[in-house]
Amino acid sequence: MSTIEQTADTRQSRLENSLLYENWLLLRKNKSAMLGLFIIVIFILVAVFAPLLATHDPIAQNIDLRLSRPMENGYILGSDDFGRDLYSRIIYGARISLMIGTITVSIGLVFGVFLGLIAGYYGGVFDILIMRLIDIMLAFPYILLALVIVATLGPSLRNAMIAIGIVGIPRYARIVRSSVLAEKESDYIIVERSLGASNFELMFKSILPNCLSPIIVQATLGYAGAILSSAALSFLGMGTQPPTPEWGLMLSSAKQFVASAWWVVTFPGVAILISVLGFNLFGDGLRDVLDPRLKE
Amino acid sequence: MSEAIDVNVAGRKTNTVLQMENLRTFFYTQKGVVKAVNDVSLRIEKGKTLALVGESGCGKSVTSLSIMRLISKPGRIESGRILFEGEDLLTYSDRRMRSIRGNRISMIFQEPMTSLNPVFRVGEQIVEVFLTHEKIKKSEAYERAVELLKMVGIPAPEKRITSYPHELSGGMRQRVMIAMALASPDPGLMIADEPTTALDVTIQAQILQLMNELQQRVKMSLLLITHDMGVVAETADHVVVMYAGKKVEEADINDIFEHPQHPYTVGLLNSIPANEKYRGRDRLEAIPGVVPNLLKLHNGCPFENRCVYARDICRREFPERRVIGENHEVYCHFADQLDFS
Amino acid sequence: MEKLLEVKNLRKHFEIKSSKLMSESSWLKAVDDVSFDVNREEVLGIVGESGCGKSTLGKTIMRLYDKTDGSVLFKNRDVFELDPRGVKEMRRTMQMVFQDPFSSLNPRKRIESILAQPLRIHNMGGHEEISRRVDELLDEVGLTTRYRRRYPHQFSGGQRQRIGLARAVALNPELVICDEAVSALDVSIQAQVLNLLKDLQEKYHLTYIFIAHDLSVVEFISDRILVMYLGRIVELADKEVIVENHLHPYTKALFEASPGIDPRKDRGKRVLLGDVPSPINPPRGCHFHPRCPECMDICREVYPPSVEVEPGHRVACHLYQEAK
Repeated sequence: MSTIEQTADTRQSRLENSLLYENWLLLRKNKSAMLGLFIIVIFILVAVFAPLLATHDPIAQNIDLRLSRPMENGYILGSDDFGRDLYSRIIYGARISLMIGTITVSIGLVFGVFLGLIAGYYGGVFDILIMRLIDIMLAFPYILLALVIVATLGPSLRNAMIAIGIVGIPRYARIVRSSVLAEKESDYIIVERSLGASNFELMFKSILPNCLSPIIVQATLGYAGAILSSAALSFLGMGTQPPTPEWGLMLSSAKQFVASAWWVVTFPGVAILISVLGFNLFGDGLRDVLDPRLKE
Repeated sequence: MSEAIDVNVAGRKTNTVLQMENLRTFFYTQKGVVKAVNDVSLRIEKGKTLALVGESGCGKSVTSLSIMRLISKPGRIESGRILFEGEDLLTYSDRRMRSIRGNRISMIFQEPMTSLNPVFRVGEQIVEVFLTHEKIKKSEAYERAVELLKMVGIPAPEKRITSYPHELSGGMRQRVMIAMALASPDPGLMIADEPTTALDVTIQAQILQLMNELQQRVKMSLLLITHDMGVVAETADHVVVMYAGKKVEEADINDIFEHPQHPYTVGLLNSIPANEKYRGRDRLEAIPGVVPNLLKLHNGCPFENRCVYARDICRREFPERRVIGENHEVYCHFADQLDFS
Repeated sequence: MEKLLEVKNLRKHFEIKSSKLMSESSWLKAVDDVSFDVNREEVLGIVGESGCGKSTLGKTIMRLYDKTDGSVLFKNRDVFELDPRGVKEMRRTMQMVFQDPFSSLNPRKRIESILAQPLRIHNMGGHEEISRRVDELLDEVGLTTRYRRRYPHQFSGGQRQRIGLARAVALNPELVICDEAVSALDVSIQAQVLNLLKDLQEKYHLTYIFIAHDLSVVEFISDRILVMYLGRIVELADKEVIVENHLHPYTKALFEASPGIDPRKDRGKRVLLGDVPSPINPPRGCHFHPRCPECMDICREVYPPSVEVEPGHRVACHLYQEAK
């Protein structure tokens, strides 16, 4: 009995069998998503190759040349009020931001996914307990909660990352929980259970892979959120401490120079803007590609 | 180029409610062009039921949506004419088409739950149809709505008129859909797309009986789209069989069951367990293979890869129309040579 | 013939918690006092419309739902009394095939992984052996092994159903419950899959419980037919007996309503009135009485006991209260 046409087992067909590849093809068509991706790639490259790209030591001060204009005195983007090269600080700032994004998203993801899985799969008292905890966390304004955590632990970049990470947990937990609730009732889960699969196998190997789409989207957008939150915390003096070249901190310490030395404020701000935009565009594009596919 | 079918019934041309000529509706997808309806012609006579039969992907639903001009991107009606009472619907403006829909041509769908708006009461939705097409008072519209509900067999219509769709069963909702479709003073054509597929079989029987009765009473013409040959046997006067976007056979009701001539029609009838021949047997004569990928069709007969009678020519050319009996035509290179008895 | 399965007075009720604060909850009696046997290597067809409980019955027999009352003896052991090891063993011998070919396969797993899973869980050999068996299974059900690394969405509905079947027989089960296994398929594909079911039955000496709402399909494939209405069995008999001589008014209505394919005969049928009632508040007395053309006074008050009118033919109807 003939079925699908025979195709040779070429590299083409091996690629075709990859879910990732199919998604990629769709994503490619979304111009703003590709722009976002481009920005992200640049961002990552800059962060990784910071030492090669920087012209100066980002924390080296040179009071004599403070507040130099862009392209003056060998400072591509000018220098700040301590005479530090803005360009190099921004470059290294990308590295910091990448680290912030990665660590905060990881914290949120690992704990959030775990909690969401347990709540969604086992339900009952676990669900109630975890959801109450989530609700309590969500009752506080995002920044307020982060501030509280940082205030408790002490202001520093490390603690800012922990705070932002923790504050992000509810979002992932909720997303995963609702996905799990939906998938749990699927026929294929009933089948796998009837085949004798253990709870662990069902949760992690069968249900979780089907919940990945919203998690991936959320994680991508989470980078954007993390950069903004960290900037906000630094702005409030509760996050990164000087002299670390974190964009938010750079913005905050340059507040006073808005009128007189616009470059000290503008360039870090633009850096934040562009990187957040990049993650948002890409994240939205991902969502468009991944969500309708689920309805297939 | 209109088909010669008119010639046979030239004298009864005025009895035609809908004449579709060489319709082509294509979908321009990211992966290529899907020729969902590929040069299909049909004719519906006044007061009669035409069944458009085929399995998934054959194009029958797209055909009905094309008639209603409800095809949206990436689909497009490429060419053809759809003559409704003599005038080509494809030349109508949007506004004129809107005045036709729900008024002279109405449609009922498979899933009444999704076709009815869940947040409005049933009565309101019927009244809306009235008020869209006629200038009458709301109270009068409500009275007529109750009458309609009675006509479609809903018990205690005065009470039911204030129900929400979710308060009604599947069968009841389908009756409401039918009532809405009849809400115009002069319904010309009703298109029913798998109207009973989602219903239990005893309810299906009720709905089919209702549609038959209404047709007698209101002299309504019906285009019935279905995959179920049993439903066809119970309701149709004339049958068109579609496969992969093409019409493969067309005949009057008795002929299509008793003298099918296209290998697909024969295969389809053979796939049905209710077929008499399977008394005492435990294997069906199934059609081998699967429907071809609509994106990769060749220019020949789309049934070729599953047809036991296929030859080279079937791959190269799509067969011409052959008239093999009264109102009976088939598209097969070996139309009169195959013996299916 | 040996009895593979004995269902005795099985009940499965679902509690519907009331949305109003102080009201009592109502009960959905999906399966209500159902008893029947299944013989080895036979096909028992269970037919009924929506709300009759046939799907719930299948899942309860598989212990995918906990029972409310009664027992299910599989090879003389009550499935609800088994310890976890016993349940796992039972899972190996009793399998299920579902209706929806789109949702019964994990969309994120490749076919080879889906088929390997049951073999892996039950330790049916090492990596290579399992891989070989996967190829065998694909072959059995008429699919080319080249596509083992594909994902479910890359197959058609009929092919997915074949994969589901392959998975069901992977462990050499004794009983396979088909829950509307062909209902979502096109007619021509349905025919292929029905044939495949028969082939597999012969090859593996399987016993089937075939649950469907389409009477003609059930009629074709079954040896015995069981008719359900609102959680209860209304009639049970050998296929030929039920086809020639159906007694219960509901069975009659089902046969009448099922579309045949003879246009000369199948028009102007007698149609059953009324809606299929909700299983939440079934009518008093015989559940079918509001729609029954032969309803008598007693039908409104007392649920008719099931009577064996001839050997192997049971009916639950006041019209037939004497055994012949």
